[in-house]
Order: sequence, then C-alpha cells, then structure tokens
Amino acid sequence: MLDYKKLDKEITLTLQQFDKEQLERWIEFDKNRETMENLLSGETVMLELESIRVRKLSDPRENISSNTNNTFAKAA
Amino acid sequence: MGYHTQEYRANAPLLDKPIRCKGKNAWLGVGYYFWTELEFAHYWGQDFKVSTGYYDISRVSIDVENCLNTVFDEDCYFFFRKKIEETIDIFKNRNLTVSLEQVHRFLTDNVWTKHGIEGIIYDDKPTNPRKSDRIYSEIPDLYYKKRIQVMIFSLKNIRNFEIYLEEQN
Repeated sequence: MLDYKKLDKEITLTLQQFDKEQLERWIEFDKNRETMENLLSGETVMLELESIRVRKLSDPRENISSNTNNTFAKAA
Repeated sequence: MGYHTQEYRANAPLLDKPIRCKGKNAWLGVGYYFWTELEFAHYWGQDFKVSTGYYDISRVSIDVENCLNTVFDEDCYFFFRKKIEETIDIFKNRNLTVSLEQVHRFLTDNVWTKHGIEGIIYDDKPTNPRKSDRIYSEIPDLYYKKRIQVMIFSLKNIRNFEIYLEEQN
C-alpha cells in the first residue's frame, strides 16, 4: 500500500533536485530514445547529421595573373 | 486481469510475454500497457494494430498493489495530479518547454520507480473514436465508460500471460 502523504514530500524533494542541465540532458535522451524506437519499428524518422563548416584555405601567391608584377610568376 | 493487444504475425511465434512500449505511444512512460476491459483491447487493435490486417489479444494477471490507482483512489488521483503539475513547473521554472507525454516519461524514468511505485492505473477518456459507428455513449461528449489502462514498469508484476484471442480484425 502506497503512503501518499510520505510520497508527496519525498517526490517534491526529488523533483526540486533537478537543475536545468540535467533536465536538458534527459530531454535529449528521451528524444533519441523515441527516434531509435521509431527507426526500429519501421517508421520514417528525420536524422540530423553533424554538420562541419567548410573553411577554404587560400594563398594569395597562388593567384597568378599576367598583369601583376609577381616575383613568383617571374621566377617561374 | 489485463488485456494486451499486438499485431498478428503469421510466421512469428506466439508472444510469451507482453511487448514493452517505448515509442510515441508510450505516453504514460516506458512500460507494459494493458486494457482492463476487452472492449478497448479490441478498439486498440482495430485502430492501431492493423498493418497485417489482424491482431491478437493476450490476457494476464497483474499485481497492482504498488501501482498509482488514479481511477478509483481519490487520494491517489489528487497526489498524481499534484506531481504532474509540480513536474511541469520544474521544467517551466528552468525555461524549458515540455509536453504532457514528456512529463509522464520523465516521471517514469526518474521518479516513480525510485520511490517504490510499480505502475499506473489511468482512465484515458474515450474522446477519440476512430470509427463513426462506434458508440462510446448514447449522448455524444458525455462518456460514462472509463477507458482504463494499466501501465506496469516491470514484468515482475505480471503472471499467467497467455494468448486469449487470435487473428482478430
């Protein structure tokens, strides 16, 4: 038999111990669990892949123009 | 007594235990779901277990001594309601939005079992009939039948699981 008066106080204390970070971690866990379950049961799921920002490397000395007085161009 | 509805699968062996619900239908939390009345076990099969055209209904004895009986126990109902509202406030006060399903799943994952609670008996009002010829009440919107579900967290509360009706449609 459950003692609701006792549980009332104990559970309020348990709930108050959750900070924002812990709740956010649980939300993420719950979201992933639901996605996995939908995937395993054959439903359509939306998967977001980690995106990487592409940073193009460039060196101005590689841009050789016939009109420039570029020492590297002359050397070549 | 509880009734558990699953899809009938011709080439699969009969179930020897209920299937744990973890997906979007697990609205009271992750666990084993049962109907207390056969009528609603059939409706669940007809509405949601139709991909093979047929469904099976199993029956089982459930130990509900340490379950939250929100349907027939007044003290429990008000306790349960208060904890739901407290949980919503915990999320809101930390600037997080949360759905009612998430609140139930959060409580099941983090609170109920840690305090000796083994399941929930809940009356999910039958306000969503899928078939127009299905009569929940002679007076529309005044539903006198409780659509009671028992959700159990662990198989330890379950005895004598058996297939009761096969290939229903």
